[in-house]
Amino acid sequence: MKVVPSGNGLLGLDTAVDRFSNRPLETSSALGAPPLYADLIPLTAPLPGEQYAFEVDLDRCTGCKACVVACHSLNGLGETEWWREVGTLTGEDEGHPWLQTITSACHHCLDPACAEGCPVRAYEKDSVTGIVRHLDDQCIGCRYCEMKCPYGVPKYRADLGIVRKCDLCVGRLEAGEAPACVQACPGGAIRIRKVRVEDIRLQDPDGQMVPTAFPSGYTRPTTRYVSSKPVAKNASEVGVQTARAEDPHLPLVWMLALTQLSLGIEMSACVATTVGMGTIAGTMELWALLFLVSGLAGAGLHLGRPAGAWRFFLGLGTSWMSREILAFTVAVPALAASAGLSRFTEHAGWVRLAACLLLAVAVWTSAMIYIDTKRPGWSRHAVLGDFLGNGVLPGGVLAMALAGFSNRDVATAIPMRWTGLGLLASAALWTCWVTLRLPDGVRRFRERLFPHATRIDGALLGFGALMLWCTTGSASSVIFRVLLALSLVGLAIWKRTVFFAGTPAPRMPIGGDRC
Amino acid sequence: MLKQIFTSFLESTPLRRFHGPLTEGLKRETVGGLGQIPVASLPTEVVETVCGFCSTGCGLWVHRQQEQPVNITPAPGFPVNLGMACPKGWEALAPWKAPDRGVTPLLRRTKGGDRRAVGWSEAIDVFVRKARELKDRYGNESFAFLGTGQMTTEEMAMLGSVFKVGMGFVHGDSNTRQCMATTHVAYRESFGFDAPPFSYQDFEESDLLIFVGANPCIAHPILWQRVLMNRRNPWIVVVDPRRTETASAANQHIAIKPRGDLCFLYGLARAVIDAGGVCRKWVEDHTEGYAEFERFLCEFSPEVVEEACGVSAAEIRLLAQRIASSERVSFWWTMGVNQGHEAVRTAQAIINLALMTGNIGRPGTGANSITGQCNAMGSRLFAMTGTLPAGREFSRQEDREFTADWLGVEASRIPARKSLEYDRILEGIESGTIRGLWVIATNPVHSWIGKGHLKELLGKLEFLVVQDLFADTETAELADLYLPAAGWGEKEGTYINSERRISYTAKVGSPPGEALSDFEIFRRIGIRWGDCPWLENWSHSEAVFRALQQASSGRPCDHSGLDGYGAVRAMRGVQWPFPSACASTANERRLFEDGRFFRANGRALFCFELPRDNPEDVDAEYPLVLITGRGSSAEWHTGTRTSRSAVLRALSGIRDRVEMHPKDAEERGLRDGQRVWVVSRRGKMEGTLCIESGVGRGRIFVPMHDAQVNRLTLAAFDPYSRQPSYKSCAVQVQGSAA
Repeated sequence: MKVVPSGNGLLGLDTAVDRFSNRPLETSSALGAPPLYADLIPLTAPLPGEQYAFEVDLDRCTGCKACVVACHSLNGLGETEWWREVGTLTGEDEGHPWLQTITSACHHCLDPACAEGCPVRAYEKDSVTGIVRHLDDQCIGCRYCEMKCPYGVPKYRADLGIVRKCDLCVGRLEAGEAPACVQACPGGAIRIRKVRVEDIRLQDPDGQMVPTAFPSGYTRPTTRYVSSKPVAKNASEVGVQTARAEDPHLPLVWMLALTQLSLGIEMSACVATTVGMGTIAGTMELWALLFLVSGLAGAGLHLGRPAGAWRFFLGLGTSWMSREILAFTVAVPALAASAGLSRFTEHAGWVRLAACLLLAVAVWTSAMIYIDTKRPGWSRHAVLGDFLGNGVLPGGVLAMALAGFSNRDVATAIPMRWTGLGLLASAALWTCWVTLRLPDGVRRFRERLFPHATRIDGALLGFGALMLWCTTGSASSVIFRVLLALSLVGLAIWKRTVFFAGTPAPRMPIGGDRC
Repeated sequence: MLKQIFTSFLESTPLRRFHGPLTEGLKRETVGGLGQIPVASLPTEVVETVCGFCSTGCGLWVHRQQEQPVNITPAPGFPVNLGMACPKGWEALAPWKAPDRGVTPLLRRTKGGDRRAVGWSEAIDVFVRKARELKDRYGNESFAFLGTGQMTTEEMAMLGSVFKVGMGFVHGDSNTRQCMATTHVAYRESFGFDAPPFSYQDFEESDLLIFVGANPCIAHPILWQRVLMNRRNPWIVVVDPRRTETASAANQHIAIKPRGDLCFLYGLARAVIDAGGVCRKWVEDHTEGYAEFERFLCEFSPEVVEEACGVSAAEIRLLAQRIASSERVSFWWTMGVNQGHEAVRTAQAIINLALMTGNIGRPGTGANSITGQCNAMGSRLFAMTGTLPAGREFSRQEDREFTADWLGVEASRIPARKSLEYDRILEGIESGTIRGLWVIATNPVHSWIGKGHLKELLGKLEFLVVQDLFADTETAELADLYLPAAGWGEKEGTYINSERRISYTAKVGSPPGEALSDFEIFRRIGIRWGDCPWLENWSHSEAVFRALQQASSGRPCDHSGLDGYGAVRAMRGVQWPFPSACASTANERRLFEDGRFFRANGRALFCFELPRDNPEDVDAEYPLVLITGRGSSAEWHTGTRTSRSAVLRALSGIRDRVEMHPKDAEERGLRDGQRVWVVSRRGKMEGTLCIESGVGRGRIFVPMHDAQVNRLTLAAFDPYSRQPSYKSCAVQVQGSAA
């Protein structure tokens, strides 16, 4: 067996760049000159005001996908982990069919959204090279960077409990070696270039790196795609983006549903306090506290490495995730204090109102987490409307069902019936209005994934209303109240599932169904 | 300022962890000659070998740790791939790592019963006993094999000699029938030998490259790399019904109608004559039949063929002028040509264009077939299916005598006729003349054309043996006897690539469990059967290689000048011919530089024939043409190996996609991404609709890797090569409920 011992100088060279660029002349002339890999990486470090960036020559990218596997293989990534993607855009250019394969990895943005969203500052944008590095040992696996990045770059590794991503092979560049993808591209389509930060700042914020990519104004990606051919305006990645459900993030579904219901319950408690039903209000508040704490416990399950979560305060300056953690950390004791105080004093109304406001702020920070991703399906009114209509308002009704367990008078009171039905009706109307205002793409995406969504919404609300009617009627029974509570919790959980799975994440072309 | 202080404070505390075990997990170290390598797979040694997927024949370095393969990088400076590889090459160890490999022979004692693990000696006993029973009861045509282009040349020679000479059966064909039979027949008739004339360097040396029915960007990415290395500012033309990756990357895409290729090529030849592009002196000196060809072309002016081929006369004439005025024109074809109902004549129409313009035997020229499987060429030359070793004829007595002498047996034991072709072997099963079948390293239940009834057909056999890496392929699951085979990298041998390069593939790890190399399985069967005197010398792979070298002596594929595997490895692959008195040791050589061809009179022959009717045209009921083909660079045929790699699976894209033109979709009220039924007269499949205009109106494209697609295809064949016509049949598409 022919064995080439490592480092025996078979080619007399050390680095991958060298082995291509310095191949003996007689060989290269006989074979036609191979591409010079030294041409594909900068020879000097960036000057102040510059940074490293990928440049892709689309004329030379023809979809072989060697870059994806080389990155996977030469960086020792996990079995199902890859940091580069290749997709195909098709369209028409003046009536002629147009096709272009697109390779992409991290764009090492000027304003990396991943870093901005990270609650524990596990991202570091290098001040000299501009490379956006992920600090694997700092990461707590909250996966918020996955949502923040509009290009689908950070990739979660469930077995490690952290996210990892492309670091532009910084270690290779330091050694004068080309990054794995650059080395491996048979067409020499991928290069590393130094770019002027100012030039990227001056680019049109609504511009896109390639068709279908998220507008560059959000994160200022640095990758440049060059092509000698005109690019079709109507280009799209067919069959792919539309067919794929997003991750439902079940622990977050649980957390959001319960914390929002909790707010609704607490608001009911405030109203009850105001109308002089102090005992009932106290019961409601205990339920609110129970929902809040259970919801937050579920959130813990979402973290890949919860042990590092205490560092959340590091991100307070930029991350809504940090702010949310802080807000809930404050809301829990506030609610507990209010519930405790109400046992000893009759004048706990103001404390309860304060607790309710703190909880409302916490729920609002939850909403801001998603609004801040700038996903088209998660606009301000869509997220707030959804949380209010399908979490907080049903929570108000839920409060009555729950309070009824210990105080039958409340539940059978006729004003409660009409208040509850009014709340449910407004929740339904509100939801319709929010849904109608969703962008077309998001609506179609949801219709395709959940073709029966409207019927499920209607059934849950209708069933809830019926149970409410029965609960508050003269023949009220525990069964009706339990069913009412279940239908309202079910509604909140169902709507949160649609919220995650049914909101398409913007990303670069990925070339297929990766689920 | 405050921010800076805060940042430096953070950096100096354990609040931000820049290092730790997770960061270490991605650590790399520099290894001489390899660059940075992940610490987990640092090699203790590196072995050079050649990839076992396609015919490009890329050199790969297998990294080994304590005798076990751990990683692969493309071999720097290897004369084929120059340090590059496609995803399949990078992931070639996936089948080796697969947890579900076949590890022991499996025997089904009764039809419909369970398969039980048995030892090798019992498995071989059963095989030989059954084969003898079949032979005694039904004669020497009752047992056949369906082989492959994926084994080493040595294994193919072993199989052919043991089965046909030792055991005395007549029929054995291989899946090269599905990929290269057309080329084989076309070259033999035109050049006098199955001799692809080119070297990959011709991609770099050409001024005008014309690809017909080829999509090298994803089917042979490394060859496209060589095209991109062309420094002559070439003009690249792609003739293909679809706007493929290659068509998009080319300077010009000629979107012909499916199966309009033969008319187009004849029209083009006629236009070349009109443009004064014929190299009359060269044609007169080196070819035969040109005058008849020119007369024949009278009927094929571009204005006449434009409707049949869907290309305007003006476009044809423009291309003809370009051919006439270019110094170096090269023509390249692959499956778009080979898999057609008049494929041989189509391939020869391309050969004719090269001959009439004198574009052969010079750098950057040639009528060049890009091969499919890694060792299709080895199969064509040495598998003893269509020809005797080194392209000798079954029908010629002196060739039979040579072969008998070479094997040390009586001349009467060499069959005087060649085998039935693949489709006719299957017909034989249908009619009951063939009662036993041995399927080796191929998966016909997935890949065979119009295979709707193949499962039932194989059920009619008295004895079905499947020899494969995995016991769970669609075909292996039906086997009465399953034999676990070693895969690529688990055995040594040689392959012959598209440019006639004989390369060495090394054993870099051991097969799992009790799996044996195909070589060893054939050899054990031969010994157990008896009457195979040559097996005494054919004890190991290199011994067979030397025997084949000897058989090649004096033939066009002569490589007797090599000193065994050592020479092949030292030269990093050698193109044939390499006779003992080889004048040139250049690592890239082309044929016919002296204008002498392998036919008896030394002249190349113009072969041509009137186009035939399409076996299945579209009509009102089935209004769309179904084109099948490679879906991505990450998939290999039926996916027996590539589907074992998670990254290759992911890179396959939507595997059951049905590509359709937006207007065709609109007419049917179909939307992008929805589930659809594709229905032909023979069967139906469900797929995901992908709406894009590149496929052209009135056509759909479905990748061949989906196991359903060959329920639809029409079992039509080229009359000369018997190669199936996978590229065209009539279908309709309708929305499905889901």
